Amino acid sequence: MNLRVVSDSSRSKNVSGKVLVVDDDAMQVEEIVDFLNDHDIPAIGESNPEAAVAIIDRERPALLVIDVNMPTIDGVRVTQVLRALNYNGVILLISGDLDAVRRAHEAGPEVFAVLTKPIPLPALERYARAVLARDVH
Amino acid sequence: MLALASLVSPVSPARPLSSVSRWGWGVAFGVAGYALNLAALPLAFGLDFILGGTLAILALRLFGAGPGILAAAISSAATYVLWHHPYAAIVFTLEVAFLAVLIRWRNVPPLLAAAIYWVILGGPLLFLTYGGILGMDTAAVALVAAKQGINSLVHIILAEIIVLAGVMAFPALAARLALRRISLANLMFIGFVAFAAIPAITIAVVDARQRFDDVVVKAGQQARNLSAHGQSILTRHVNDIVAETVDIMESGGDPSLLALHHDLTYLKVTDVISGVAVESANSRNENPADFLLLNNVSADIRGKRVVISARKQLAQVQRILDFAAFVPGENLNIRPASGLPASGTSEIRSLGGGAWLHLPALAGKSIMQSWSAATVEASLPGLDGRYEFHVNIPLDSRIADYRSDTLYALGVVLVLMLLLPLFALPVSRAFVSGLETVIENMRRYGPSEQIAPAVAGARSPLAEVAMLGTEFEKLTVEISRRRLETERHRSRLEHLIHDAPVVILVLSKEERNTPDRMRVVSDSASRILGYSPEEIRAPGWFQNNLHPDDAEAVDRQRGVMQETGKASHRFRFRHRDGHYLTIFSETQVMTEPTTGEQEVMIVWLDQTQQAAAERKVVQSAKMADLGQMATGMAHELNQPLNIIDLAAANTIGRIDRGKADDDYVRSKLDRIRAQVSRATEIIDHMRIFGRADSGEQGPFLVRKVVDGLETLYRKQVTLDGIDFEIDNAVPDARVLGNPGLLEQVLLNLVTNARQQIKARMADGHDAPAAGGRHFIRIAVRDRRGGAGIELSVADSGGGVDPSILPRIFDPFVTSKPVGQGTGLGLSVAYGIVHDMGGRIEALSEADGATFTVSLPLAEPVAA
Repeated sequence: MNLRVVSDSSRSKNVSGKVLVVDDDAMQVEEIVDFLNDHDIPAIGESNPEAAVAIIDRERPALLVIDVNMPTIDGVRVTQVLRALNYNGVILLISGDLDAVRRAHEAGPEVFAVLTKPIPLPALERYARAVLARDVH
Repeated sequence: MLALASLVSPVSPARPLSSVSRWGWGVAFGVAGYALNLAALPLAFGLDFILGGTLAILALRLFGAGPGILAAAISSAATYVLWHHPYAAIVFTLEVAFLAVLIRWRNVPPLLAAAIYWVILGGPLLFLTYGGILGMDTAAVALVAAKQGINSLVHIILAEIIVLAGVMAFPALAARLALRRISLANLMFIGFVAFAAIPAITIAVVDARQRFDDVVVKAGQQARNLSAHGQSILTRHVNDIVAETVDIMESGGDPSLLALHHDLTYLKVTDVISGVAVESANSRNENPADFLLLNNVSADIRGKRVVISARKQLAQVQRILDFAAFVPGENLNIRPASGLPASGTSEIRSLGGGAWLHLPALAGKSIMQSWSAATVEASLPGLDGRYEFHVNIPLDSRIADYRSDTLYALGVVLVLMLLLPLFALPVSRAFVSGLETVIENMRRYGPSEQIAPAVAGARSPLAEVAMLGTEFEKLTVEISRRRLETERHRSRLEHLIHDAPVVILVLSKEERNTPDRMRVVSDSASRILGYSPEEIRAPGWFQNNLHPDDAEAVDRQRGVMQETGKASHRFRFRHRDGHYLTIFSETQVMTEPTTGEQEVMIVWLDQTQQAAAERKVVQSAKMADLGQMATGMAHELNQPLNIIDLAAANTIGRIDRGKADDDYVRSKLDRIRAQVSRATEIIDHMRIFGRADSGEQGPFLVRKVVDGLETLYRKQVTLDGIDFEIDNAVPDARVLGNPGLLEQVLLNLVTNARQQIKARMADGHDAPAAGGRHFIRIAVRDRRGGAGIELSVADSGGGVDPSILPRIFDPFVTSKPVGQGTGLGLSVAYGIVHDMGGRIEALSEADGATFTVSLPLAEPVAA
């Protein structure tokens, strides 16, 4: 899968060089964080979507990898909340079904990219590096 | 008059006589009757008993009205010869015509018809003709009328006896003559009348003849005696004259004195030897016509033989006779000798011994005699050969006496004959009433229509016996017909019971565990179940072959049957070759109609194939529901696979970089195994839900079914943004059945609820509750004080379309878009719940629907 990092000049630069992984499945979060860390990409994880909002607000990760299908809150809904909080990092939605992908696109320009499960790890790695490199530079 | 009027039942005549034959026979009977009439039986004084009329009545009875009247006219013509007048013939012919009308018109018995005729027509006609036209005196006419009446009744009695005897003897001939059958009552009636009337008539006839003889012969005798009396008086007179003459002559007296003394017109005494004659003074006036009292009668006078001759005037002789005869009116006369009766217009009949009966002709009608003027005449030779003694006795007073006596006797007979029917009728009716009752009953309870030829009856000339025979035969044929019909019905019913594609068992409700308990075992039982009837009747057969898992349900249905009198349920039963059949059983308590015994009728239908088919339907419905879940399931499976993939990739990456220590690898492999278990669990549940129902029955925990569904569904429903709530108030509740089937019901309800809610969400409807979230709520509640449970699925899907609600459990009813629902799910659920002895209800409100499944508990939950 090819992901393009879209340049957005209006976005504020005050984000840290980190990736935040949010999924209601803790093990999934842990594996993705492990993978990114193993590839020298600073990443942190959170399995509670509500807690994740606080972390984002505090840490300002350059890339937010978030699951669409979560029992308590929809990932798409989370992006809308984050935009409301003036979070201007890159948001990458992960979804298991095409229906969720469709809804993500409909959600608006806040979403930069969508990945479908099972997560293509090399693509994620490339995308994360690209986002972090852009934000660092 | 029933017995009399319907004495007989009509019998179809075999080859009836032709019209020509009947008229021919009528003429023949008339001629025979004519001959018989001429041979009249004279009673007395002009009364003749004639029997020719019997043949006319017979002709009437045998050949019908026309020939009968013709025979009457021919035969009665003889009376003209007998009695010299036509009136008897007219009256008799009229009588037969009258009988013909009454018999044909009202089937009046002939005897009764004749009695009516003589009272209203015959009697008056006789008075009119005999009295009015012929001028007979009233007493004579009354006598004639009585005689004629009796004579007529005798005709009829004789004719009836001949008819009855003939019918009895020649029934076939009777049929040809179109004679009706004889009723026993008729036979009795005629028998009674004949038995009493014939002797009475005979006695009356003999008596009348005797009286006639008494009157006429005695009168003749009397006449003769009187004549002889005159003879002896005159002889004595003569002897006196001779003696006195001798005395006078011996004393030398004058014979003239003697002549004077005895009013002799002439007296002459002549000496035979000397020839000297002495004559009375008046001898010179001798009149040769005077009665010659003494004609040379010898006598001795003083030794001399003399002959004496004397004459006397006839009037003087008559005076002597008159003086000597003391019976007034019976005149003893002296008259010139003829030796013959007096001639004239009278009919003269000799009575013998010189006596004659004189029947003077009725004035102006020489052919009729006036018995009132009849006399009896007798004559004896007078002493003078030229004269004779003659007696003439009028019979008027004697005949009047005779007539009154005979009229009395005949009257008694007539009254007797008219009264007899009054006695004979009830007796004869009483005699046959029993038979009539039997016949009536046979008719009433016998066949309604003619079903048998009346052959039995045709053989008997007796009407009641014939009817009895006919009715009995009809009854017999009807009974055998009904027996055949009953047999056919029975055989048909048996056929139905034994060949029906169901097992039919009838048990006594009271008896238990005895081979006799089973009253009916249809042959089909052996065919369907494989057991012999003996095996089926053996105690314990049912319990021993019932599937153990179904025993409890069967017990429960038995309780229902005891309570309500009927029950229906399904269970598995072992065929004799070992495999189980699915049996649908309908049980009903009945009352045996003849004995009133309580019985249980059981009908078993083999639904093994149907059950298999039903399981397939359930399975496809379930598969449809599982299909609806497939997306969610894929997501569920995707999650562990993702983690496995990530863990494996991370581990490989570490190994590639040489940073993979044992602990790290182990932790990752543990994780992979855990995720494999997770996936396996999901797959297992799907497999459990997707498995085909084996038909196994038994008690199971409702909780397990609910929990299983939760495992399978909670995640998916939750991901849909729907709250999935479970509220189980009776976690230990067990119901009877197949848990897979209840899972199917629950799965279907939850699937429907989820789809409904999702459709609603897609349409932009928010949840109705304040919290703003949609929900599916599964609740298990105690029901009926521990006797059952209610398993309900409530949702916030906005309720069911009201147009569908009443039919919601019907097959192929769906509110879902085409392609999303089979319409089978709820109908399958309905069938499953019903089979479990429960019921399913749908409640729909604006906010959402609640489906409630009520099920009886396998065992009551302790409160």
